[in-house]
Amino acid sequence: MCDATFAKNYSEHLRMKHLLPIAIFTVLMSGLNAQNNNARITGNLQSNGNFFIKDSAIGAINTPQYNFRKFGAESWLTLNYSNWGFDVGVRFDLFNNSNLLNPNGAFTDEGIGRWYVHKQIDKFDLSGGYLYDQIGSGIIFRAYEERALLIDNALYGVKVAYNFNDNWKLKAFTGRQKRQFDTYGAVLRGGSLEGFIKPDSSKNFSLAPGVGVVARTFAEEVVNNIVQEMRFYLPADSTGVQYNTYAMTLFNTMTAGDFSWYAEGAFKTKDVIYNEFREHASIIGQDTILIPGTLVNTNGYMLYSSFTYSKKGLGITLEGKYTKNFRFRTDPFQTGVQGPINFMPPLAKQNTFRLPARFSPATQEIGEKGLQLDIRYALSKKISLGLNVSDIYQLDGKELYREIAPEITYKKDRKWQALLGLQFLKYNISVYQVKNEAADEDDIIPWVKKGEEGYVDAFTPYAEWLYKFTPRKSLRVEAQYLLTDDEFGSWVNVLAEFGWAPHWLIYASDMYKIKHGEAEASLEKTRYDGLHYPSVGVVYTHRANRFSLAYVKQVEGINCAGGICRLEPTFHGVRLNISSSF
Amino acid sequence: MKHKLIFLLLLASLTYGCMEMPITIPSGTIDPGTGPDQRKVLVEELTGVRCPNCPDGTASLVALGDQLGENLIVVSIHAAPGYDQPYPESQYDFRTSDGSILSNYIGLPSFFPTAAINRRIVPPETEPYLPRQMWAGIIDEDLGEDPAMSIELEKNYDAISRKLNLTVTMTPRAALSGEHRLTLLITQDSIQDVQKKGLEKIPDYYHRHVLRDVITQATGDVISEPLVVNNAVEKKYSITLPVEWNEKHCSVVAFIHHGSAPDKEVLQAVEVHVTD
Repeated sequence: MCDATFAKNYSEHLRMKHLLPIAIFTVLMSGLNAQNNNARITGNLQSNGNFFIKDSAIGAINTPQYNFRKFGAESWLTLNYSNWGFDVGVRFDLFNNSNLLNPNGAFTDEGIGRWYVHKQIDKFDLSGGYLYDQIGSGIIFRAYEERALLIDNALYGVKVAYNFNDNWKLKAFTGRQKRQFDTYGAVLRGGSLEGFIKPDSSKNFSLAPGVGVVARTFAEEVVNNIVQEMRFYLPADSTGVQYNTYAMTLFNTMTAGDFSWYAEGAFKTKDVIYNEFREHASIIGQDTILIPGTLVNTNGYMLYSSFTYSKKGLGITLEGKYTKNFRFRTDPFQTGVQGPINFMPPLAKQNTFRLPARFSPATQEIGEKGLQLDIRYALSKKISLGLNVSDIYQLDGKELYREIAPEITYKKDRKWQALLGLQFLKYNISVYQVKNEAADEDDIIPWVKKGEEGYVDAFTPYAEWLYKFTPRKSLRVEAQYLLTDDEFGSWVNVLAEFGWAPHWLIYASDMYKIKHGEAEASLEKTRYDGLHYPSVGVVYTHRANRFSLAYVKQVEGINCAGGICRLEPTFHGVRLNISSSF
Repeated sequence: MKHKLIFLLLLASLTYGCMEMPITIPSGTIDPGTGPDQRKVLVEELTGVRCPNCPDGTASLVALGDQLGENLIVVSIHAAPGYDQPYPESQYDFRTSDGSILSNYIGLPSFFPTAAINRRIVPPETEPYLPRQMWAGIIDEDLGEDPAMSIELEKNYDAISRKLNLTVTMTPRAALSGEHRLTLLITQDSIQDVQKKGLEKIPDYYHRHVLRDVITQATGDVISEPLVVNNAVEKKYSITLPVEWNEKHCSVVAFIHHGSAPDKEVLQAVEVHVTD
């Protein structure tokens, strides 16, 4: 099955795949000396290095990183070249014992992570290689890169676009989705028509409508695997399979004066998706048992809308979303951040402070509905107010997430400014992290009389103070206190950061675990009691180059980017980061 | 009128092009047969007493085992990173140093429940550990293969001394090249102890197929003898069972696998109970 000949051919295939972009890049570059007209080369480098230091007190043990690998690194070097109307680019990716792909594991590989060629010919726009693109807000298709979670689902294929005029554009593409240095088997193709209508150029009214469709064909082995899995289901649970699934979307942005309204509705035809909440029956001897997690062949839909009002001193955004069975992946066996074809906008605030960001909600592809309201109002030049409210539910009405976060910012001339905020949080930890959380008889937070089972109730005041000694020297201090008797209990975090522009930034922080609030908390809940998680770091910036070195102790927690989240383990060690643009 | 006709024809052809022939899902009943020359499938499940999703995976394997009988051999390795530490109230510590070595040798897990099926790497996966949704398909596929090797395992157990003597006879059924290894290990079934399952902690959960010890090297003993088609190679091993192990629930699992290159795929496996 995997004999030596196959391995040899496969490695030869990969080698050729990597040589091709280098050859294209070299051929085009060779013209640089011959005709140095409008040639332009740009690029950037990002490198991360992690040195792992074992610390059993905080749980930084028992992964290959801490046991024997000790060091992990990842790096991306991109070169872009433009000349004669061509744009070409190539990116070298390297992963050495990297824990980005799997936070508990070590991934090692290197090679050409991306290459592309782009050329505009009259009204045609042609691209080939590894392409990043999306339709609408990404609900049916988004090929993008998010390095913090090692999401890189570029479309390895071709794209042709035709610009009817400045306002209307038609595009079509086909290819397969990238998976590290390989591709998934599923074939994708799709297209969209997007436009811009402004009936009266003297009035601030416009429409930006669009329509898109994406089709995915499962690889044959994936269909075989689905068939073999479903043959063990009882007839009632065996919902069938087909090769092709089609996703369609219709969207529009209407702008009228100070208002802007985006609305998108998407539908997906029957698709085999993995539903972790649905059980299927299995017969063992004389008994019937129910096993959670079932492949389900179903259609799905999603509605998303965002309404914005913006006037001097006031900004209001109201978003709403309804999702049902809109998991759309290259194959149903892909989990976590692997293989998503689409992207669903999150409905919660992207918190930047450490403790308010501790319980972040991951987008639920199987089903959720919710609203988010964000208001910013400037009372005066010195004082501005903010309020963010998110409320997310499962489709059966069970609450998933509720966050209410008022904020006030005060600016004292140019010398200093302060921010004060509060976060009132209710987080369904049983759904988001599959952790149990018993009901509270008398919650530590005064207004939470009786905490429900499966939920974290937390109250987090936070503050930030920025003081400028001189235009070049500044001090930023932030502090947060997370009050809860759920999960591990309450935490406090402080950070001080001294900036000496334009080059230096030095910071130190400590996150401290306060003794658990429950009188009879289990050992599981109190295991971090009394522990400190200090970090110190230095950052040096020179033009477009940034170097940072930090000693970090970090508790386990959720890491999110754009509503896509994963639980990451404790980290203890030294981090080195370099980023450079040229 | 002409344009409308063209549009309708285009719409009709697109609609027809989107229609698909239904794919038949066969019945779940499988009768793969028995005997040393029947391909058996080894499932190495990576688990831990703190792993909330792992019992669902075990339930799937038990259900498959009920249908496939002796052709499905399951070993539960308690070495899931971050999930394998016993609770303070646990009676047993199922972790073993051999289990950790074995788990690291097989590959890197990135989700739970997870299991390696004959240690095969199934594209597009890059590691042998596979998600639960794939298990049945891969098991079924492997059961239909002809084994490259047949194995017979004879046991002789002395209940008084608790000494277990084992003889493994391996006979290649196809030409083999590269390094091959033999791994022998002992599992114990139906041990009652604490287990996290979903949101609950179950105090009297039945732990299935628990890896107790690896008799050979955890990464397998290299078979140095030449492997010639239809020429049997015999190996002998012995072990004294610790008194804490209930021999009535213990089984010996033997399997032959590639050493390291091009992969660690298991070619054939066999399981016998310590007592009859």
